[in-house]
Amino acid sequence: MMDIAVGSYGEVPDHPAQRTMAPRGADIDEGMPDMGYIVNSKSEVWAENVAELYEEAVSRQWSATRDIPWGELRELPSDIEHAVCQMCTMLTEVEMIAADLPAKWMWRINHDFLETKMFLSTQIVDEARHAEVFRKRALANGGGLLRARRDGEFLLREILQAKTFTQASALLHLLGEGMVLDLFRQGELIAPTDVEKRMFRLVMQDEARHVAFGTLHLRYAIDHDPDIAEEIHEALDEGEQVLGSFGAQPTTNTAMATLLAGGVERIEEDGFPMSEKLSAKMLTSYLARCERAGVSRLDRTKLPLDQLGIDASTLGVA
Amino acid sequence: MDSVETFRALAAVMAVRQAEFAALGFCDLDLEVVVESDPAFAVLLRFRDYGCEVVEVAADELPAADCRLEGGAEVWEEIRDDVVAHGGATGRRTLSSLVLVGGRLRLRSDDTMGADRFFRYAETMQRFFDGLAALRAEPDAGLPFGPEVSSKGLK
Repeated sequence: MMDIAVGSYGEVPDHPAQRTMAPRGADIDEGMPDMGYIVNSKSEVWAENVAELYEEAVSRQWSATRDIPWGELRELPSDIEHAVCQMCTMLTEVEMIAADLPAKWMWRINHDFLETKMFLSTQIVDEARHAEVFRKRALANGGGLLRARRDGEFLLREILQAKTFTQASALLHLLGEGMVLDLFRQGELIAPTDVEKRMFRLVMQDEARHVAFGTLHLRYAIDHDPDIAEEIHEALDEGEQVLGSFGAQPTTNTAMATLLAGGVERIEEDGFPMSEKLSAKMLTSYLARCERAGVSRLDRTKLPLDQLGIDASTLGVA
Repeated sequence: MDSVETFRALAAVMAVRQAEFAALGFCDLDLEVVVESDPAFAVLLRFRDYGCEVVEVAADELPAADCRLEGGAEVWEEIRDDVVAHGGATGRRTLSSLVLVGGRLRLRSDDTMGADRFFRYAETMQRFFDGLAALRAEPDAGLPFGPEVSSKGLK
């Protein structure tokens, strides 16, 4: 897609004249029907890395059936299996928001922004695969799906109901998937077997692409329309508040702490303290991405940075 | 781990296993590896498509890269020993795990997009370093390849 983005074919108009599905660069008949697109400004959807990310996504697809060594699953202590299944229940629930949201917006986006629509299509496939792999893991080793909490649903609704694509991207790619990317990193750390290790490394790759798109989309949007920064801040104000409730829910926290401690026996001594440190690291990553996107949250966020032990000077360490 | 030959041998293993890496998808990442020994050692790994170019660099004049993995000689030896003993990284000795906790191996970048790029290729990065299992454990053996891999291809 990068190699063929030459001449007029590579020129993506800031405000397309047409609202049709005609390929960008083609000769277009008179009297084409209006497809009713409502997202018709490039700055509303574009990211400088979108073509690269589309090609990467296509190249790095994987299969939740073929590429996970399911045959290596083994019986685990009941507290570990229970914790893995609780994590997988939550992840199965939250992953599909990142498919539903692009799907909600894609048909509204002008077809001249084809690369963005193609990338969002890959994201939908990625998220279907994530829901598949976590559901399979929950059900494959005797545990099953456990509890879905309402706090999670409030966060998902907040994301889904965003008023503009850029606000939606801030909530989904930067806040939600940024956090989930770090959650996947934690998942790789605490994976009890190679099955979960592989699973988390592969979903991590996909999630990092989505975060990369969102970060540079917001950057592009702000560079071309500085007024939009306030809209993004407002969305993140709300999102961080709901995220706080989601992050405070005991079910997932206990599951993560159990896995970090290697079982319930040392959950108080090791599990919860380590979980707190990793949560601080997760928020540090989020704040770093906000800086990169051009929406510095350091002076705006209501997140208790001091209480969480977050040092703004460490934003460059992953 | 503090020799450019080791990394060239890893790149050779990657080349031999190109089909395996191609199945993971293309990779486009400039990664610096820094071993904090005395003297410090650094190497630039230029991952392109399904291969890797290894460039020796001065530890005190690091070139621009997407991100940098740095740690003391002991953590790199621990990584190598774990991979050699088990055929691949295990438990909390994978690259992703080590950079997440403990602070002994650090992933740094001047640009958070660079650090995130490392995670976009997490499986490729781990497989590259898992190639240590194919190298001889004895650094003075003279041959880069161990029993599993020869210069003529996979046995």
